[in-house]
Amino acid sequence: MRFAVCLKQAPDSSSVYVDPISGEVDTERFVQTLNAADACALEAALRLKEQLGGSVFALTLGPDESEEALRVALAMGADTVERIWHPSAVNWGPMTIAAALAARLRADSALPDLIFCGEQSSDWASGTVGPALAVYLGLPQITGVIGLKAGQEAGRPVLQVTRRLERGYRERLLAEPPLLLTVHETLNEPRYPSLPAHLAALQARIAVCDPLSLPGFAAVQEAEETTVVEVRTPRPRPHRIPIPDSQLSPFERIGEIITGGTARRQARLVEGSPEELARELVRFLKERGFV
Amino acid sequence: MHAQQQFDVIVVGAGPAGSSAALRLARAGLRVALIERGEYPGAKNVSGAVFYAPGLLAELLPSFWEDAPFERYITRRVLTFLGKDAALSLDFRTRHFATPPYNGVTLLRPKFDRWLASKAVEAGALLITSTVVDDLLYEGERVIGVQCRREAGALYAPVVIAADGANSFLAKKAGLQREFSPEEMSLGVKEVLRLSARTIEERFNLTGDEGMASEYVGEATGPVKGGAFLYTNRETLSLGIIVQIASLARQRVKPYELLDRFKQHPSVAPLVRDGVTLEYSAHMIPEGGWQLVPRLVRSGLLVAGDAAALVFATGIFLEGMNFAVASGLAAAETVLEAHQKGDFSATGLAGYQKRLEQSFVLQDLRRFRLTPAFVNNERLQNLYPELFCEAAEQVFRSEGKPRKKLGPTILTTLRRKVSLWTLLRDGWQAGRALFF
Repeated sequence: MRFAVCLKQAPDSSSVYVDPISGEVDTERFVQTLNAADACALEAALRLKEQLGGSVFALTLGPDESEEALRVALAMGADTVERIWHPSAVNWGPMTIAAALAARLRADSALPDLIFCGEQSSDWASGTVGPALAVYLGLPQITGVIGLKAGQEAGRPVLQVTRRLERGYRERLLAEPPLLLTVHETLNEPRYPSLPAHLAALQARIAVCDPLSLPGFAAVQEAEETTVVEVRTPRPRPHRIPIPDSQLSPFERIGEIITGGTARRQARLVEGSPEELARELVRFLKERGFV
Repeated sequence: MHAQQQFDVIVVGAGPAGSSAALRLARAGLRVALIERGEYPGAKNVSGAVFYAPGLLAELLPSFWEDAPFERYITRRVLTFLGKDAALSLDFRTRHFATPPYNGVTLLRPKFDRWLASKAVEAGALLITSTVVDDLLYEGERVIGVQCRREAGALYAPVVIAADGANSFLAKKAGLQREFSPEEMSLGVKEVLRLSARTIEERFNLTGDEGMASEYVGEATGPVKGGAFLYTNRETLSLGIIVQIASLARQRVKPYELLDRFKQHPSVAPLVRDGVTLEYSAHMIPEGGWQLVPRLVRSGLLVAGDAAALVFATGIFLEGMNFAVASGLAAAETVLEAHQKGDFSATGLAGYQKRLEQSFVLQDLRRFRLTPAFVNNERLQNLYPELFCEAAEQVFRSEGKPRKKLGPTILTTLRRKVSLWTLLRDGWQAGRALFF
């Protein structure tokens, strides 16, 4: 099997400081590392390669500094790596980036059997490049992968995939290559390379590809590209407080407001004989003024 | 042995000592491995971060101040005796410290260490990050390389420079450094607070890129022996406390409580008001001075920077990075000499000790060798700062009553708590430590 992994050198989230008032990001404190979810994507590809055989091709789109991501990939065990870059790419949005990656993958004689991407990057977290790449390549895709196993069925590899859904739901899927997967950063623990591999990667020469020279690549029109309207820190979500009953005494109303009305939802368990229970119920209803 | 794992020299630790050594050696054309345990140089260290005498770098990086990530150059030095409700300061400022290469600069170590290491990389050193060195490799008595905490983690070189920072495991493993006593070690706890450049300039009376280095003694650390510092960066303040570990343990105080207490002191609180905490960190500092400097050389190994306890903490001077850079450069010169002669034995590397003895590094440490005892004097720490403040209060107090002359005013205040004899003895100790 042939695997491809798309990587991004992104800010280490612990080094990002956003000014709470201006919403501006302090770029001076940035430390760039291989995006956490992408490292998991790479690790997933390497584990499947070890199980099923094949080769792993890691690619990134970014300036000189992004080479670091590819060196990590080489050290971890990627067979080939390539950096895609053109100065005009500084202004590219996720759709154009996906188009460039697609053009590069199509330039080889055949598409990879499995393509891995991180679900989202630690900076913009748009989660767009992976899905857009699948669309450009005409491949089925599974996003938000948090579990992955490979097996064989009738001599063909079959993947058992667990997806993360909203509100803690999970989805289990069976899928056959060719396929694109976007991986969540909890999928696995990326390996720590050996010293010789690390040294070799540090000294490796990394090929660069100009996306504008690729056949079939055209920057996505502005209308289709994501536009950033505004960046701001999220406001805390408002807490709903039920309007207190105007019949209540001011003291009780204030009590309800400051407890968020939780006093209403108090439950009480009463045990005893049916007569005792009935008596208790009547007492409760009287006490609250219902009867 | 794989050729890829063979170098001319291995430098452990990409701090100021390690990176300047690596830079010098790579410039001379040696194959240099510079090993750093953090994800990047500067990721793991803690430093108040005033770099005095940055001009030391000029030899390798002429006009370094044009692209070094310095925050502010120090034109204002303040030493403050802190009482419970009062403060008495010595406040010095001069324009003479405002011209490159500057007398001292503040900096943020994550940025500065990365910058200095990048210069070594440009010169051809191989920077190996995220890699811990666990041990030295020996052939008989000779150090021939290091063992890294990675699979197949051996690296070989005829000589290793250990610049692995305070509490150097390598210096201890090589039998050069003894175990420390808690009296010789301090704990630094530091915060970086964000304030706008304008606020900093107004609050600290600075213009442009000028900066201030301010140190405190007395109430700053409560009953614990130690001091506090407050330095201005471009848009942040570095402030923290440095306390003796033995005393901290004896008083059973938590270091972060001390730091909070310092920040809440009436003469400090207005300076740090509205600062947003960006970083919080703590680290051990070898402040034992001359006594703590280990043997610096053995066959195939040199120790530099904090690893060799080359920290100059004397109450008035709090320096370390310049000692690190100077010792790193001296180690590099020695390694070059050893490569020329092909002699990496302890005798072949003995030039290192000689170089440091001829430079300010060992001369300052030896000349001021009495200061650690003086700085840790119980009365200097906990009594005199309060008394000085009381004396100042007596001097400046106007009550419409007849005044005495200053001498008697000050002396009576002091003698209420200390006998004249003790005062003279402590004065003599201060004199011996710092003045003559």
